Amino acid sequence: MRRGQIEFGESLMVVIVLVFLLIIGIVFYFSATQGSLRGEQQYREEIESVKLAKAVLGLPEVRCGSYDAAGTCIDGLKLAALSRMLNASDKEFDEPAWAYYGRLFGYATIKVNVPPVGGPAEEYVLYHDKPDTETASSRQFIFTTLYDPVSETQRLAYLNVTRYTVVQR
Amino acid sequence: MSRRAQAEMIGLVLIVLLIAVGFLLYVKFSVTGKGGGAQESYETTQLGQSFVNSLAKSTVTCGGVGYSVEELVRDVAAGTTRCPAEQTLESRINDSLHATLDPWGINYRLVVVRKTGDREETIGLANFTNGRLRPEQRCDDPRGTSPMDRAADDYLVTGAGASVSIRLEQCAIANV
Repeated sequence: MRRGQIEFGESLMVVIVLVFLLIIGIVFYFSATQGSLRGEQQYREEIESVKLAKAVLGLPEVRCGSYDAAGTCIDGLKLAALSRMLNASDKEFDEPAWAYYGRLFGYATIKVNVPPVGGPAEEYVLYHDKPDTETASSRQFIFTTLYDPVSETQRLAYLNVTRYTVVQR
Repeated sequence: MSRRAQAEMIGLVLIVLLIAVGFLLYVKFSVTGKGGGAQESYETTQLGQSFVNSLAKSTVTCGGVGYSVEELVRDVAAGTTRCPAEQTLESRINDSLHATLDPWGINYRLVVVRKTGDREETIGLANFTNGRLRPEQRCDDPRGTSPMDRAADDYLVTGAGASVSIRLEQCAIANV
Protein backbone atom coordinates (compact mmCIF):
# COMPACT_ATOMS: atom_id res chain seq x y z
CA MET A 1 0.00 0.00 0.00
CA ARG A 2 1.31 3.45 -0.87
CA ARG A 3 1.96 6.03 1.82
CA GLY A 4 -0.62 8.43 0.35
CA GLN A 5 -3.30 5.75 0.57
CA ILE A 6 -2.46 5.09 4.22
CA GLU A 7 -2.66 8.79 5.13
CA PHE A 8 -5.96 9.08 3.31
CA GLY A 9 -7.28 6.09 5.25
CA GLU A 10 -6.17 7.66 8.55
CA SER A 11 -7.84 10.98 7.76
CA LEU A 12 -11.01 9.19 6.73
CA MET A 13 -11.06 7.23 9.96
CA VAL A 14 -10.55 10.38 12.05
CA VAL A 15 -13.41 12.10 10.24
CA ILE A 16 -15.68 9.05 10.72
CA VAL A 17 -14.88 8.93 14.44
CA LEU A 18 -15.49 12.65 14.87
CA VAL A 19 -18.80 12.49 13.01
CA PHE A 20 -19.84 9.49 15.10
CA LEU A 21 -19.02 11.30 18.35
CA LEU A 22 -20.81 14.41 17.13
CA ILE A 23 -23.96 12.43 16.33
CA ILE A 24 -23.91 10.73 19.74
CA GLY A 25 -23.42 14.13 21.40
CA ILE A 26 -26.34 15.68 19.53
CA VAL A 27 -28.64 12.73 20.30
CA PHE A 28 -27.63 12.80 23.95
CA TYR A 29 -28.08 16.56 24.24
CA PHE A 30 -31.55 16.60 22.70
CA SER A 31 -32.83 13.57 24.60
CA ALA A 32 -31.55 15.00 27.90
CA THR A 33 -33.10 18.40 27.15
CA GLN A 34 -36.39 16.80 26.12
CA GLY A 35 -36.44 14.62 29.23
CA SER A 36 -35.84 17.51 31.59
CA LEU A 37 -38.43 19.66 29.80
CA ARG A 38 -41.01 16.88 30.12
CA GLY A 39 -40.19 16.49 33.81
CA GLU A 40 -40.45 20.24 34.34
CA GLN A 41 -43.79 20.37 32.55
CA GLN A 42 -45.16 17.47 34.61
CA TYR A 43 -43.96 19.15 37.80
CA ARG A 44 -45.77 22.37 36.85
CA GLU A 45 -48.93 20.40 36.06
CA GLU A 46 -48.80 18.81 39.51
CA ILE A 47 -48.30 22.20 41.15
CA GLU A 48 -51.28 23.59 39.25
CA SER A 49 -53.40 20.64 40.44
CA VAL A 50 -52.39 21.26 44.05
CA LYS A 51 -53.18 24.97 43.65
CA LEU A 52 -56.59 24.05 42.25
CA ALA A 53 -57.26 21.69 45.17
CA LYS A 54 -56.26 24.39 47.67
CA ALA A 55 -58.45 26.91 45.85
CA VAL A 56 -61.44 24.55 46.20
CA LEU A 57 -60.76 24.12 49.91
CA GLY A 58 -60.67 27.91 50.28
CA LEU A 59 -63.98 28.55 48.52
CA PRO A 60 -66.47 30.23 50.89
CA GLU A 61 -69.18 28.26 49.03
CA VAL A 62 -67.98 25.00 50.64
CA ARG A 63 -65.69 26.01 53.49
CA CYS A 64 -66.87 25.48 57.07
CA GLY A 65 -68.23 28.63 58.61
CA SER A 66 -68.67 27.36 62.14
CA TYR A 67 -66.20 28.38 64.81
CA ASP A 68 -66.46 24.86 66.22
CA ALA A 69 -65.16 23.38 63.01
CA ALA A 70 -62.42 25.88 62.26
CA GLY A 71 -59.71 24.70 59.91
CA THR A 72 -59.72 23.37 56.39
CA CYS A 73 -62.96 21.44 56.55
CA ILE A 74 -65.79 21.25 54.05
CA ASP A 75 -69.36 21.89 55.10
CA GLY A 76 -71.44 18.90 53.96
CA LEU A 77 -74.62 20.90 53.36
CA LYS A 78 -72.83 23.62 51.36
CA LEU A 79 -71.01 20.97 49.33
CA ALA A 80 -74.24 19.14 48.48
CA ALA A 81 -75.90 22.40 47.40
CA LEU A 82 -73.02 23.53 45.17
CA SER A 83 -72.63 20.06 43.69
CA ARG A 84 -76.36 19.97 42.86
CA MET A 85 -76.16 23.37 41.20
CA LEU A 86 -73.09 22.65 39.11
CA ASN A 87 -74.36 19.23 38.01
CA ALA A 88 -77.91 20.31 37.17
CA SER A 89 -79.06 18.77 33.89
CA ASP A 90 -80.51 22.11 32.78
CA LYS A 91 -77.28 24.06 32.32
CA GLU A 92 -79.17 26.94 30.68
CA PHE A 93 -80.64 27.80 34.04
CA ASP A 94 -77.24 27.99 35.73
CA GLU A 95 -75.32 29.46 32.80
CA PRO A 96 -73.78 32.41 34.70
CA ALA A 97 -72.71 30.16 37.57
CA TRP A 98 -71.36 27.55 35.16
CA ALA A 99 -69.38 30.23 33.31
CA TYR A 100 -67.95 31.53 36.58
CA TYR A 101 -66.84 28.13 37.88
CA GLY A 102 -65.65 27.12 34.41
CA ARG A 103 -63.30 30.11 34.44
CA LEU A 104 -62.22 29.31 38.00
CA PHE A 105 -61.57 25.57 37.63
CA GLY A 106 -60.87 25.16 33.90
CA TYR A 107 -60.78 21.63 32.51
CA ALA A 108 -60.96 19.47 35.63
CA THR A 109 -62.88 16.88 37.60
CA ILE A 110 -63.26 17.74 41.27
CA LYS A 111 -64.67 15.17 43.66
CA VAL A 112 -64.94 14.91 47.42
CA ASN A 113 -64.62 11.32 48.61
CA VAL A 114 -65.54 10.17 52.08
CA PRO A 115 -63.96 6.75 52.83
CA PRO A 116 -66.02 4.17 54.73
CA VAL A 117 -64.66 5.13 58.14
CA GLY A 118 -67.22 5.68 60.90
CA GLY A 119 -70.01 5.61 58.30
CA PRO A 120 -70.74 4.64 54.70
CA ALA A 121 -68.54 5.69 51.77
CA GLU A 122 -69.75 8.80 49.97
CA GLU A 123 -68.71 10.59 46.81
CA TYR A 124 -69.67 14.10 45.71
CA VAL A 125 -68.84 15.17 42.16
CA LEU A 126 -68.45 18.89 42.58
CA TYR A 127 -67.38 19.78 39.06
CA HIS A 128 -66.64 17.94 35.82
CA ASP A 129 -65.49 19.44 32.55
CA LYS A 130 -63.28 17.31 30.31
CA PRO A 131 -62.31 18.54 26.85
CA ASP A 132 -63.33 16.38 23.88
CA THR A 133 -59.87 16.52 22.36
CA GLU A 134 -56.88 14.46 23.45
CA THR A 135 -55.75 15.40 26.94
CA ALA A 136 -53.04 14.79 29.48
CA SER A 137 -54.18 14.65 33.08
CA SER A 138 -52.67 14.96 36.52
CA ARG A 139 -54.38 13.90 39.72
CA GLN A 140 -53.96 15.14 43.28
CA PHE A 141 -55.36 14.10 46.63
CA ILE A 142 -55.64 16.42 49.60
CA PHE A 143 -57.20 15.28 52.84
CA THR A 144 -59.79 17.32 54.62
CA THR A 145 -62.79 16.69 56.84
CA LEU A 146 -66.46 16.77 55.93
CA TYR A 147 -68.37 18.64 58.59
CA ASP A 148 -72.00 17.79 59.34
CA PRO A 149 -73.49 20.95 60.88
CA VAL A 150 -76.54 19.02 62.14
CA SER A 151 -74.70 16.40 64.20
CA GLU A 152 -71.64 18.66 64.57
CA THR A 153 -69.28 15.84 63.64
CA GLN A 154 -66.40 15.69 61.19
CA ARG A 155 -65.54 12.76 58.94
CA LEU A 156 -62.22 12.12 57.25
CA ALA A 157 -62.53 12.95 53.55
CA TYR A 158 -60.25 13.74 50.63
CA LEU A 159 -60.41 16.05 47.69
CA ASN A 160 -59.77 14.18 44.45
CA VAL A 161 -58.74 16.68 41.77
CA THR A 162 -57.95 15.69 38.17
CA ARG A 163 -56.76 18.50 35.94
CA TYR A 164 -56.81 18.12 32.14
CA THR A 165 -54.47 19.76 29.69
CA VAL A 166 -55.19 19.73 25.96
CA VAL A 167 -52.33 18.01 24.17
CA GLN A 168 -50.85 20.18 21.40
CA ARG A 169 -50.07 18.23 18.23
CA MET B 1 3.52 2.98 8.59
CA SER B 2 3.62 -0.75 9.19
CA ARG B 3 0.54 -2.95 9.35
CA ARG B 4 1.12 -3.49 13.06
CA ALA B 5 1.22 0.24 13.76
CA GLN B 6 -2.04 0.62 11.82
CA ALA B 7 -3.72 -2.07 13.87
CA GLU B 8 -2.56 -0.43 17.11
CA MET B 9 -3.92 2.90 15.99
CA ILE B 10 -7.31 1.40 15.16
CA GLY B 11 -7.37 -0.35 18.53
CA LEU B 12 -6.58 2.91 20.30
CA VAL B 13 -9.32 4.72 18.44
CA LEU B 14 -11.81 1.99 19.35
CA ILE B 15 -10.87 2.22 23.03
CA VAL B 16 -11.29 6.00 23.05
CA LEU B 17 -14.60 5.58 21.27
CA LEU B 18 -15.88 3.02 23.79
CA ILE B 19 -14.84 5.17 26.73
CA ALA B 20 -16.60 8.21 25.19
CA VAL B 21 -19.81 6.24 24.57
CA GLY B 22 -19.71 4.75 28.07
CA PHE B 23 -19.23 8.17 29.62
CA LEU B 24 -22.10 9.66 27.64
CA LEU B 25 -24.41 6.80 28.59
CA TYR B 26 -23.45 7.18 32.25
CA VAL B 27 -24.17 10.92 32.18
CA LYS B 28 -27.46 10.36 30.35
CA PHE B 29 -28.77 7.84 32.88
CA SER B 30 -27.56 9.79 35.88
CA VAL B 31 -29.37 12.91 34.59
CA THR B 32 -32.66 11.29 33.55
CA GLY B 33 -32.82 8.82 36.45
CA LYS B 34 -33.14 11.48 39.15
CA GLY B 35 -36.20 13.27 37.80
CA GLY B 36 -39.16 14.06 40.02
CA GLY B 37 -37.37 14.33 43.37
CA ALA B 38 -38.73 17.73 44.25
CA GLN B 39 -42.15 16.80 42.91
CA GLU B 40 -42.38 13.62 44.94
CA SER B 41 -41.28 15.45 48.05
CA TYR B 42 -43.86 18.18 47.49
CA GLU B 43 -46.70 15.69 46.91
CA THR B 44 -45.61 13.55 49.83
CA THR B 45 -45.58 16.48 52.21
CA GLN B 46 -48.92 18.04 51.27
CA LEU B 47 -50.63 14.64 51.34
CA GLY B 48 -49.08 13.58 54.64
CA GLN B 49 -49.66 16.87 56.41
CA SER B 50 -53.27 17.08 55.25
CA PHE B 51 -53.80 13.46 56.38
CA VAL B 52 -52.58 13.95 59.96
CA ASN B 53 -54.44 17.28 60.28
CA SER B 54 -57.73 15.78 59.07
CA LEU B 55 -57.34 12.58 61.07
CA ALA B 56 -56.80 14.61 64.25
CA LYS B 57 -59.93 16.69 63.62
CA SER B 58 -62.21 13.78 62.67
CA THR B 59 -64.88 12.70 65.14
CA VAL B 60 -64.89 9.26 66.73
CA THR B 61 -67.45 7.78 69.12
CA CYS B 62 -65.97 6.51 72.37
CA GLY B 63 -68.16 5.29 75.23
CA GLY B 64 -71.24 6.62 73.43
CA VAL B 65 -69.87 10.16 73.17
CA GLY B 66 -68.29 11.86 70.15
CA TYR B 67 -64.70 13.08 70.55
CA SER B 68 -62.10 14.25 68.10
CA VAL B 69 -59.13 11.93 67.53
CA GLU B 70 -56.97 14.73 68.95
CA GLU B 71 -58.90 14.70 72.25
CA LEU B 72 -58.50 10.94 72.62
CA VAL B 73 -54.78 11.11 71.84
CA ARG B 74 -54.49 13.78 74.53
CA ASP B 75 -56.25 11.41 76.96
CA VAL B 76 -53.95 8.51 76.10
CA ALA B 77 -50.88 10.73 76.50
CA ALA B 78 -52.12 12.00 79.87
CA GLY B 79 -53.19 8.53 81.02
CA THR B 80 -56.79 9.61 81.74
CA THR B 81 -59.56 7.11 81.01
CA ARG B 82 -63.01 8.52 80.33
CA CYS B 83 -63.61 5.79 77.72
CA PRO B 84 -61.60 2.93 76.11
CA ALA B 85 -59.57 5.51 74.18
CA GLU B 86 -56.68 3.30 73.08
CA GLN B 87 -58.85 0.60 71.45
CA THR B 88 -61.10 3.20 69.85
CA LEU B 89 -58.17 5.14 68.47
CA GLU B 90 -56.39 2.05 67.14
CA SER B 91 -59.51 0.89 65.39
CA ARG B 92 -60.21 4.35 63.90
CA ILE B 93 -56.64 4.94 62.74
CA ASN B 94 -56.43 1.46 61.21
CA ASP B 95 -59.73 1.94 59.37
CA SER B 96 -58.64 5.35 58.07
CA LEU B 97 -55.32 4.02 56.80
CA HIS B 98 -56.82 0.88 55.26
CA ALA B 99 -59.37 2.96 53.35
CA THR B 100 -56.92 5.50 51.90
CA LEU B 101 -53.14 5.18 52.03
CA ASP B 102 -53.10 1.36 51.82
CA PRO B 103 -54.94 1.03 48.49
CA TRP B 104 -52.93 3.97 47.12
CA GLY B 105 -49.72 1.98 47.58
CA ILE B 106 -48.04 4.38 50.00
CA ASN B 107 -45.40 3.07 52.38
CA TYR B 108 -46.04 4.73 55.69
CA ARG B 109 -45.51 4.49 59.41
CA LEU B 110 -47.89 6.35 61.72
CA VAL B 111 -46.91 6.88 65.33
CA VAL B 112 -47.89 9.04 68.27
CA VAL B 113 -44.72 10.46 69.78
CA ARG B 114 -43.89 12.42 72.90
CA LYS B 115 -40.83 14.67 72.75
CA THR B 116 -38.98 15.45 75.96
CA GLY B 117 -35.91 17.58 75.30
CA ASP B 118 -33.99 15.78 72.55
CA ARG B 119 -35.56 12.42 73.35
CA GLU B 120 -38.55 11.03 71.49
CA GLU B 121 -40.66 8.06 72.54
CA THR B 122 -43.75 6.49 71.06
CA ILE B 123 -46.66 6.37 73.48
CA GLY B 124 -49.57 4.08 74.15
CA LEU B 125 -50.66 3.16 70.67
CA ALA B 126 -49.14 0.64 68.32
CA ASN B 127 -47.09 1.70 65.31
CA PHE B 128 -49.26 1.60 62.22
CA THR B 129 -47.65 0.50 58.96
CA ASN B 130 -48.95 -0.67 55.61
CA GLY B 131 -47.57 -4.19 56.03
CA ARG B 132 -44.64 -3.72 53.68
CA LEU B 133 -42.75 -2.03 56.51
CA ARG B 134 -42.17 -3.67 59.86
CA PRO B 135 -43.32 -1.46 62.75
CA GLU B 136 -39.77 -0.60 63.79
CA GLN B 137 -38.48 -0.21 60.25
CA ARG B 138 -37.55 3.08 58.59
CA CYS B 139 -37.63 3.81 54.88
CA ASP B 140 -33.98 4.06 53.99
CA ASP B 141 -32.63 1.30 56.15
CA PRO B 142 -34.00 -2.25 56.16
CA ARG B 143 -32.39 -2.87 59.57
CA GLY B 144 -34.46 -0.09 61.11
CA THR B 145 -31.63 1.95 62.58
CA SER B 146 -31.63 5.00 60.32
CA PRO B 147 -33.85 7.97 61.14
CA MET B 148 -33.82 9.12 57.50
CA ASP B 149 -37.33 8.79 56.16
CA ARG B 150 -38.19 10.67 53.02
CA ALA B 151 -40.91 12.74 54.65
CA ALA B 152 -42.36 13.08 58.13
CA ASP B 153 -45.40 15.21 58.90
CA ASP B 154 -46.51 16.04 62.43
CA TYR B 155 -49.75 17.21 63.93
CA LEU B 156 -49.04 18.81 67.30
CA VAL B 157 -51.67 17.79 69.85
CA THR B 158 -52.60 20.86 71.85
CA GLY B 159 -53.00 20.84 75.62
CA ALA B 160 -51.18 17.55 76.12
CA GLY B 161 -48.57 18.96 78.49
CA ALA B 162 -45.37 17.74 76.86
CA SER B 163 -44.92 17.98 73.11
CA VAL B 164 -47.13 15.17 71.78
CA SER B 165 -47.70 14.75 68.07
CA ILE B 166 -49.31 12.41 65.56
CA ARG B 167 -46.62 11.67 62.99
CA LEU B 168 -46.91 10.17 59.54
CA GLU B 169 -43.68 9.03 57.91
CA GLN B 170 -43.74 8.17 54.24
CA CYS B 171 -41.26 6.42 52.03
CA ALA B 172 -42.70 6.81 48.56
CA ILE B 173 -45.88 7.45 46.64
CA ALA B 174 -46.86 4.99 43.97
CA ASN B 175 -49.15 6.01 41.14
CA VAL B 176 -52.77 5.74 42.11
